Amino acid sequence: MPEYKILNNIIDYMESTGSKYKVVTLSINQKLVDEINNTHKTKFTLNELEKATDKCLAHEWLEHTFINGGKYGSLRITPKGVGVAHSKKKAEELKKSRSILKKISDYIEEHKGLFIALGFSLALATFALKLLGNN
Amino acid sequence: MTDKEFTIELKCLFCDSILQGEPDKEYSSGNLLQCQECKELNDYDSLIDVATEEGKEKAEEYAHREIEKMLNNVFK
Repeated sequence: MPEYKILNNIIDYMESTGSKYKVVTLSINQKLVDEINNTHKTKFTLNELEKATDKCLAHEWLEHTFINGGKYGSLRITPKGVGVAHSKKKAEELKKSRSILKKISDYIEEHKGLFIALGFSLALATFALKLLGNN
Repeated sequence: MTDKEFTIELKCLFCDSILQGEPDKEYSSGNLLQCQECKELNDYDSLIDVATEEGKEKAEEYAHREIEKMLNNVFK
């Protein structure tokens, strides 16, 4: 998700320079696209990052620092944006540290629709076989 | 100026729905709260930070309004 990549990019910069969120601004341009793609080995386009920025602005994860900075210029992360980035990071760490049994359980939970369809097909096939066998 | 209490509800950072934790569970630093609406996990510490900011804003607005009222009364 490009929106989380943008937020993480700001957090990484803040942490590497010891800056508070209020003093870090960014603009969505080709330089940022290249930076994110190089760091995360992704292939986002400028248009995709602009759309992701629209989502960040709508959810108040990013805000404008100046009115005349343009739609994708002079942006700043909000406390909510910092929270979203931290939440995603923690959730991913938690996901990575799960035991194999928990991973299997979560996989079944996430794909329960597929398992129900599979079970139904199996029951239907058994029923059809039984009918054909009786005839 | 009278003492004033503000109630801040914890809202999901992803979809803004009001978060409802399990009734018997106490949450603390490091916990993740799952949103019932969008199922995203919310970091407890970040939720408190955002709620604190919201509380500060509300308190500032209230203080400004009260000071304005007081000054208006003084210069009447």
